Amino acid sequence: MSVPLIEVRNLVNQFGDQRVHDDLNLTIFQHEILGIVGGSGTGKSVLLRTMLGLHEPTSGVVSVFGENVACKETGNLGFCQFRWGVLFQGGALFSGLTVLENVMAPMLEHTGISHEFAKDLAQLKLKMVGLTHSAFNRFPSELSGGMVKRAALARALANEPQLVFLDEPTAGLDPISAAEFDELILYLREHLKLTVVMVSHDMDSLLRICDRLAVLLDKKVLVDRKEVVVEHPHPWIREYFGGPRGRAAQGVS
Amino acid sequence: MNEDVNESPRISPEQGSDERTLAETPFYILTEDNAGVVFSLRGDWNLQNIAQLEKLLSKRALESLQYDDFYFRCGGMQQFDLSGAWLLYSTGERLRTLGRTIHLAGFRDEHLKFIEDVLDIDVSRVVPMEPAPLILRATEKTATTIQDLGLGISQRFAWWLLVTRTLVASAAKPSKLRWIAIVRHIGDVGISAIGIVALMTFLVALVLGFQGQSQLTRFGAQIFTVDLVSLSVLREMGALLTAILVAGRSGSAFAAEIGVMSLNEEVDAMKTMGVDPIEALIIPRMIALLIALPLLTFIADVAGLLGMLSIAHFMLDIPVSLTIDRFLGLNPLQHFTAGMVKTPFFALVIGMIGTFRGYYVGRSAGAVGHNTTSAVVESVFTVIVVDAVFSILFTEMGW
Repeated sequence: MSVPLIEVRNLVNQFGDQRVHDDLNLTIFQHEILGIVGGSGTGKSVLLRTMLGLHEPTSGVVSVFGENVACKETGNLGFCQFRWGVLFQGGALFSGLTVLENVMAPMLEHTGISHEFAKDLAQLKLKMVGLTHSAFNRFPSELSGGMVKRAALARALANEPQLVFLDEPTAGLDPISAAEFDELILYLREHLKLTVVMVSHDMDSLLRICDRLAVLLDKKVLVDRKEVVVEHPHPWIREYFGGPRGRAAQGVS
Repeated sequence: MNEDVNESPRISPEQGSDERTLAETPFYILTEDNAGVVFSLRGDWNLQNIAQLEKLLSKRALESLQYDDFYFRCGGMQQFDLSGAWLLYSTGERLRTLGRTIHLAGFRDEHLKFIEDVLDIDVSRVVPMEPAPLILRATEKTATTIQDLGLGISQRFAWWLLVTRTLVASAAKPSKLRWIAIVRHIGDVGISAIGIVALMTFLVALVLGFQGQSQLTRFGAQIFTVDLVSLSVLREMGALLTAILVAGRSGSAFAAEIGVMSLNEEVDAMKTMGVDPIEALIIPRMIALLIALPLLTFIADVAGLLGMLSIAHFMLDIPVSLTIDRFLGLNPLQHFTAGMVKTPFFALVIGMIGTFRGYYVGRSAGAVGHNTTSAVVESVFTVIVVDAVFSILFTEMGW
């Protein structure tokens, strides 16, 4: 936990009169799993989109891999886009392509590899995330929710990224699938040396896999090891982790 | 890359005389010794370089088949990701099937772990299906095409039946109709199309009159230009051109709107709320078309006749009063009716096809585009067919 991969400095995001982020600072280190939590409307998605260069902040610096993504036109981030992968909440699989083609698409787009080799690698990635052959040639509309998430994760991993953004990775999954997905993320972090940034509301998932938690509070962010964050006296955190669901996830009766 | 630069065999002094360097690339140094051929791997074995690596390694491996033993030695690789591991593994497998022995040496734990992981995950290759004989494929293709066609026809038939039934049922209870939606659709389909419809028929009448008079003048029968243009506009052009334009404008809009709604599960949501989507989505559009298309056709007719008047007045110097007399002598009401009678049928065709294409859209973004295109093509085609049928019918009836 030494090398900073993402640095957010003095970030301000304002929509009309409404200020979502005010002078927000956040550093994400290599090889950690950071969970971003916060109530509805606290700007989790905006923060994520800002880090991805999809949203231009009102002011502030966001550097990923040492490169400022905050003030660039999208599509101008070739360097980063090769080194990160994104799992969107709804999967965002290309509906006109099969699962296999979805995973092959970023590889073929960015490297000059042969179609055959890309196919092999894509199959490898799909197996890695736990999909079986029968799913490879199906279209996204023919998949179950859990399979969509897995396929989307495989696509996010297509270009061997060092950094993976997960937007609500376990939302809409049954508890067993969600737990499996947690283990999968841990496994991949271990073997692919990933840094993971995830936005989630899944208490079990957050406490199981995250190293640190970043809580969006009062337009700023409170970030620390999860054990510390859980005990923080802030009323929102008390309510969030101390509520019935939070206590259940922590195994407190 | 410059694989051939250091191609010339040379004795490397520090390695002893039985080891020769065969090649150097950014990714490996190839040497041979008594035991076999040695690939000392170096550089970045990652996805960025994989295309280059693939070419270099597989070519070199296949050129070295005179050796029985292949050593892959990790000599200072900087990056080694899954794609690199897979390349190494698949090359090794290929050599193994050719009866060669593979040795891995000098890999750090993490690299070995990587390769083990890769080996662990059984990627049984998809065996490409053997293509069936051509004749079989052709028969199968024909069979599925016919089947699809049959399915399509029966599906359309069912759609016509369903919509017509709902239409009749709601017409029986006009108070239950969704008038707000109907008015909105009349605005979209009709009012916003008035300008383009009027302009188009006016211009077509001008062109028709211009072409017609140049022929008729040769026989000294200029006055017949009035007959030609009025009859064409009232019987055919007004109704047909308007229908084609509306099919392009509104048929496609219906298909796209309803298509996106069903893609978005809005249609399913309606069903679960106990709202009949046919009644809520399809019927207002059908009724709007049934009202707007005849009115648009009327406007088109008027614009066309104005075009005829302009040609007669400005080109042929026929006084307006004479033109009007001539026109009234043609029994225009009958021709106007002959054109007008067709418009509800055109409206039905456009509405049915557009909404059908939207309602039974597939579940991908491409399907919406495809269905929108089909809606326009299909409805324009069907409108012309219906028009032809009416022409024959009217001729038979002596109208």
